[in-house]
Amino acid sequence: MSTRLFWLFLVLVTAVGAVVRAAGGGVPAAGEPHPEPTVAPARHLIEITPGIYRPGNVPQSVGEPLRAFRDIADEYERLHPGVSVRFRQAPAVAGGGEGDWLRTQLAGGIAPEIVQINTEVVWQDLDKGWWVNLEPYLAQPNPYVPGNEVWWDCFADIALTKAKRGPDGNLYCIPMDIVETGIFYNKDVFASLGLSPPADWEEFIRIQKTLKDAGYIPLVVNGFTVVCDWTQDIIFDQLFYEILDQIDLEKGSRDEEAYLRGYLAPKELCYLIKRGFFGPDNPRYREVWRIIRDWRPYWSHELANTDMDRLFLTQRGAMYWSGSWFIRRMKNDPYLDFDWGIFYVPPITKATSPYACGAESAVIGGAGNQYSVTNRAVLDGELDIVIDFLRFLTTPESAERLVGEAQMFFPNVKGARMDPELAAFADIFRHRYCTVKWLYSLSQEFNDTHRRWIMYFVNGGFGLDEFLALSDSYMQQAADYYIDKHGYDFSEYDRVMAERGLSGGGR
Amino acid sequence: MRRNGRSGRSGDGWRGWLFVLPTLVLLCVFCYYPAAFALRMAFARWDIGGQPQWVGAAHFVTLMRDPVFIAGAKNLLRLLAFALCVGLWMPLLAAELIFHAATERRRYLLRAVFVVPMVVPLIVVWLVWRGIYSDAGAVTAFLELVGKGHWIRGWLSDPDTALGALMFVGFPFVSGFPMLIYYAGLSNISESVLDAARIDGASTLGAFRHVHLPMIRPQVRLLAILTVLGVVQGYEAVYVLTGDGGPGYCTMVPGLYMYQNGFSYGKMGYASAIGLVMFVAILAFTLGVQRYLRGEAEEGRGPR
Repeated sequence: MSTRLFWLFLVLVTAVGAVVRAAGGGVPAAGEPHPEPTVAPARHLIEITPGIYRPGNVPQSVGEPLRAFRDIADEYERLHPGVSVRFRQAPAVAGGGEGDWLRTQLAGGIAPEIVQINTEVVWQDLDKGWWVNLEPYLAQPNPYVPGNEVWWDCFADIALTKAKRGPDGNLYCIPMDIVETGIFYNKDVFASLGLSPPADWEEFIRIQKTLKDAGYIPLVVNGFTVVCDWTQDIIFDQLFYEILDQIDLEKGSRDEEAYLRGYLAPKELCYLIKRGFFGPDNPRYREVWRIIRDWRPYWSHELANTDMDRLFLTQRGAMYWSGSWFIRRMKNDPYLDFDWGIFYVPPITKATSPYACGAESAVIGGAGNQYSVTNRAVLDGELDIVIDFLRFLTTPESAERLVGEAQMFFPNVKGARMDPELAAFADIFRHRYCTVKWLYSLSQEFNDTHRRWIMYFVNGGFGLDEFLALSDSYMQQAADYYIDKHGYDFSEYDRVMAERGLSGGGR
Repeated sequence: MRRNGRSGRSGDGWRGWLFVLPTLVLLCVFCYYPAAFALRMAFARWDIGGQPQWVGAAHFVTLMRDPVFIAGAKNLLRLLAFALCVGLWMPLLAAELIFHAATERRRYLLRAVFVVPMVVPLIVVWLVWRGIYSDAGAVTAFLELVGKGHWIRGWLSDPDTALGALMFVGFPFVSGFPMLIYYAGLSNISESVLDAARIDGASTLGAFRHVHLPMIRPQVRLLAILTVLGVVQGYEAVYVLTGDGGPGYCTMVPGLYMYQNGFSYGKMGYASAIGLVMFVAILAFTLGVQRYLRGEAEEGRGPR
């Protein structure tokens, strides 16, 4: 009897397992086409993880809770009875790992229809069929903007928007706004020490030395973002700008070139890595890391994920490299008791390095909140209504209300006015864009590896030679992986390189 | 009569199975099925969202040569050694302190003092420690106060101090749960045994060494096993405090590496292989301890 019971139990478990599996739904595997929606549901539900604009969110912990996105959604619901817009909060993840949560949601087919995520994270998984290509829809009119013929024309910075196209040439996000970085400085401290914003790198370093001698943390920086991402990109640009025309092997489309002139696309980057341009034997590349290492003594001691805002607000730090989002805090913090200003990273001159170009520093900002559409919209048969809602969101009225309320970014929608408080950042944004975004250009694994060894290097874990040898090794691996994944053919690049008389090493 | 008896037992069996059935089903669906699935995936290349491909033992061969995994395993051994040396004994000292308090009221108060912090979620504790280690934190303030400003550094950023800073989280290492387990063990020691020790002239230290320790050996073993399980499986503190197990691989642990491979890089097959290796290590340790305990009990040396 007990044996029969045991088998009965097993059959039951198997049956329950089968039911659970069936209830999981048919998520298409990589490469499989999305199933066509059969019957349109009576009610439409659009779920969004809106990022910073989540209703009820209090960005920077100051000011009133945001509500504009809810108001816009309510308005849309009134225009479209039967449609519900629901907001979900994505978990905050350390180290830019918001993609971790999203991947599990996407694999299970339960991700929100619209998600705010850096489109570079989306590019990592284009082969999995999780994301909706928005190009066909952008070629159609936006019915909510009178006279509009193609949705593309709704964006204030079309070049920037088109520059967010993925490696397959398609756009997978709607860049709602624009973000830029800058250095906040304490005017009171500067005045007390007779300092003023620097004109060049050498003066910038002198200022930091003065501040350090006076007992301040000269420059507050976050290790994960500023050191490993922004710093690297800007200094690399300063030192490679002079030879950019030689190593830029492929021009982008005319639209993109207006924004990304000379930008090294992942394919170009892979090629140059494989030809040894960023190895330990390249003196130009060595200089990038020599300058970064020499800069380290002027940053905060702790670089790992601490509350950097507080160091600046409590006046322990005299300068803070942050972004346009920090304006909200500076404008609304009731306890702030010092005068402050903003300047940008000054150019490096030949007094610091023979490879320095001395040109105005490039910027590393760009698209801020980027909304992508997931496979859930397709699986649930809601794609059309989701696209329609995004069109409604990109009207001048909606964008101005949404972006303006937060006071952190400037809208990327034509006709939407910018908060005047952000003018300083809009000025910085007019600089040319950097040569390459080292993080986000290759795989997520490369990003993590590169970041951890940069942190190890700048914190004195090993010397320049060891760092460059190690970074060359994992960069080669990352390039191999990327080349294999995309099946790149470099014969054309070889021809261009031969014509230009470059053999490698970028000397 | 016999038939009735048999049918009675049979009926009881059915009812018993029915009572445990929901639990067993849920266990199978949420515990055993995922574990069995992960076991299978450890032998497959399975990128999240894609189709698994059988690769045999390739992941395990890679793992044995993977510098990140090896660095993580070494860090894990260091963390484990620290946890067993400090994290296991400090609660015992606290339990002894409470046990020797003069009055029941004092014992109650002291127990409350050590147990109340248990209500604070660990994530809060880790975030507080992140603040303590920051440039505006307590460590910096203290060193400046005592004129040792030149000792200040990025405790979690500096390769020389990152792992030590991680170990130090939780200072003074008196967790409420192990302290209560020890205290319960000490309270269960028979008064007559303690009286005998006193009559024989045992000092406090002597009584601790020759009476208390042998009598609470089961508690020590239980907590040792739980400590090993917790340290091997845990990576959350590393994730919250350093973000990625850096700088370099200074604070990497296998659990975090498994998470990163699975969810950041989408390499579910490789992550499953790491999980399987960790499972085998924990299983071997637990079986070893059980075998040791059984042997000791059979020899009649230890308490049963």
